[in-house]
Amino acid sequence: MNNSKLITFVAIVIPVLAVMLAARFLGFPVFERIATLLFINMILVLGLQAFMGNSGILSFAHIAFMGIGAYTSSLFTIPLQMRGMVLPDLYPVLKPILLSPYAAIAVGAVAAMLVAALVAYPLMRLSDAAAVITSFALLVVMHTIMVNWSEVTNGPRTLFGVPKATTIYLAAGGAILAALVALYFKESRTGLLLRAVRDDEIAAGAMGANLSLLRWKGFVLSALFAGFAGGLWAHFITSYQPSAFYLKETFVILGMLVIGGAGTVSGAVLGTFVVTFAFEALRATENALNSSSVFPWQLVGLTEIVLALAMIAVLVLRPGGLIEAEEFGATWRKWRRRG
Amino acid sequence: MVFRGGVSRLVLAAAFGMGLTGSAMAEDEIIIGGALSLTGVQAPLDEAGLKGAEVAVKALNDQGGLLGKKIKLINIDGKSDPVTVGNNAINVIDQGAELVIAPCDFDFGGPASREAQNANIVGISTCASDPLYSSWSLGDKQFTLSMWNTAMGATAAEYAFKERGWKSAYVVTDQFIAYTKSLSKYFTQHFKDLGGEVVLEDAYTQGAQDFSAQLARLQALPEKPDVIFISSYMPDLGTIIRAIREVGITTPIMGGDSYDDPSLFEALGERFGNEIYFVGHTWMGAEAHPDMGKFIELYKAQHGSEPDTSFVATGWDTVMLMAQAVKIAGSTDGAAVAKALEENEFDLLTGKLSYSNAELGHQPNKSAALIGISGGKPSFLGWRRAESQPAP
Repeated sequence: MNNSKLITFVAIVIPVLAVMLAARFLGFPVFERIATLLFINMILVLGLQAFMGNSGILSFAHIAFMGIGAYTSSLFTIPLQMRGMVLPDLYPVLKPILLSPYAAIAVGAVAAMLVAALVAYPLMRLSDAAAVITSFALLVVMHTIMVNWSEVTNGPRTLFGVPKATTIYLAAGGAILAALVALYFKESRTGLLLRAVRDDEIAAGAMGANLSLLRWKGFVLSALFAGFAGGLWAHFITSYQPSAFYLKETFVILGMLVIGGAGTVSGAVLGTFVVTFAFEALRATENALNSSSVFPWQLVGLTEIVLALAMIAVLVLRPGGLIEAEEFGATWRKWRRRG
Repeated sequence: MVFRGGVSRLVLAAAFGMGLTGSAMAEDEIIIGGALSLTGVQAPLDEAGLKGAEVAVKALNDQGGLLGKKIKLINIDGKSDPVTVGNNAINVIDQGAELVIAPCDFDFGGPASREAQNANIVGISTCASDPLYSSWSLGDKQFTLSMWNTAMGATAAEYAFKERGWKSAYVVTDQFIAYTKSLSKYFTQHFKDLGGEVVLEDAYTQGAQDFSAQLARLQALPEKPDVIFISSYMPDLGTIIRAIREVGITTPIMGGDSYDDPSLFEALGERFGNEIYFVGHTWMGAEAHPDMGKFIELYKAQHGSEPDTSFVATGWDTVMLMAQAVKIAGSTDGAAVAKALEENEFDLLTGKLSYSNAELGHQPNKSAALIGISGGKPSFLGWRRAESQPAP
């Protein structure tokens, strides 16, 4: 790991640890919850960055893999005596298998990766608008499967009884690991080639870059992140339904990445922090305004509207996001040299 | 420096903001927290419940409060999203809530009860009726004010088969939530046990807004059913019933407490709102309970209009049930209040209520109100109690 990359990594680790410790020791359980969800979102955003940032292809399917990770891991951790009540139609083969939550989260991540490996290969031959639209179609297909495969997901209804296993430490550790992998992947041979394809598909292809294979690798890695985050999320939230893995979450994660800057790992992390804090501040404002009844009506949807406006503003003013092209470490070194 | 400086400033700002919003706990008040949904699909049931709960809190405070302390109700909009409901429950418990009012449904309300259980306090759902809303799946301090769907479905089946002599039924099940699925399951089971015949079971999914495929199957039946049982939710419930009535099918329609919604009566109107019967929680009139008139007056004084659904009574009852149990227990301690709830019978606007113990799931023992819709207007047909009911 070179110097600049190390600085970037440290710059990501410091705020993660700071938020983790602050959340842990300030004594507000709500804050700890927000911080844990922030770390899980960070893993999702980093996963999306690994594919989208390097390949330049917008992917809507990311959250579907989070769903696969969540459902797969939960299947193995719901206590046996509760399983009949939660999933009355579960396949008999799966009924007696009980794993520790950590093993189950790993299984969920691998399952998401395998599904991605299977479905993505043909899709990765597509570019531009066609690739974006097929990824959206993939999200819809996966969502429909989750809604209707009652045997393992309990249909559109709540899946409950998932034991709580994700702590703030585990989530923070996962986020740091994800940042490390994303940074490494970006500078790896595959990452560099993928970015070459992004910048000039024809030129890179002429030099012998196998573009569909490169994109496939990026996509599979990104699904691994998403599946891992899904498992962590499921074992944090403990009861959820397929609608949790659909458009709303997709746009939150995309918003974080686009605002922060899809091209860089630093941008992905910054976007996650900025959007989370803005979201929570707006939600607190919304609740405070509503409970103090400043307005004669109830304020609804302030958070969503402001996030959408922020996304538009960022796209107009800085189309590449807050940190567009250069990782924080490189900027820091230039700045040091100048100063 | 944008990166680190910006982030640390944000962290500080957020920490500061949290400090301001986290309210100081006062010694002289008992906080009841809620995560009832004021927006989304759950709002028609929850908003009414919240309004009723507000009336109850004011009434109790006017009589001197509870255990000598004032009661304060804090509700944060759960937005008909189970994850938000869970977050909000944690938030109100954080603000000092000692009792939790959970939304009126297992899928939407369960997360609030789970968080209440984690904090070792009592949580009561205003009207969740799925048997999953039990101490088995949520914990030994969690209750629902409503009868279970076993009772709701059985009451509907007995009314259809025994009182009206309807022998064949067509059943539509919305796949949407546990409530809609289990209600028709228990209706079907009990109707068959009584000797009735279910000619066709069909599925629907909330949000589809299109009932034509099911309607075609219904019309293709060689023999017309005596009764149609629809287990769904507003807003699509209105669409389904209209679709059936619009093609001239006048077969009686039956359902559960989700029919008790003024927007359904409006959607059906005089033309389509006939021969519809449902099993609900209570009736907003003196026929249902001698104290109902008093409640309606208090409600009018506080909210400026007559209650338009009986779900307001579930909110009032939830708070009154909590207050009576706390009084018996002498404290708001979760285990003591849960014990008081298990061991006593309570006289409420939604009927007399007692619970089984935690091993038996906190099964509510309660009467059901039977309501008919005719000319687009609901009317009370009396209290019913199913002679037997299927096992959950």
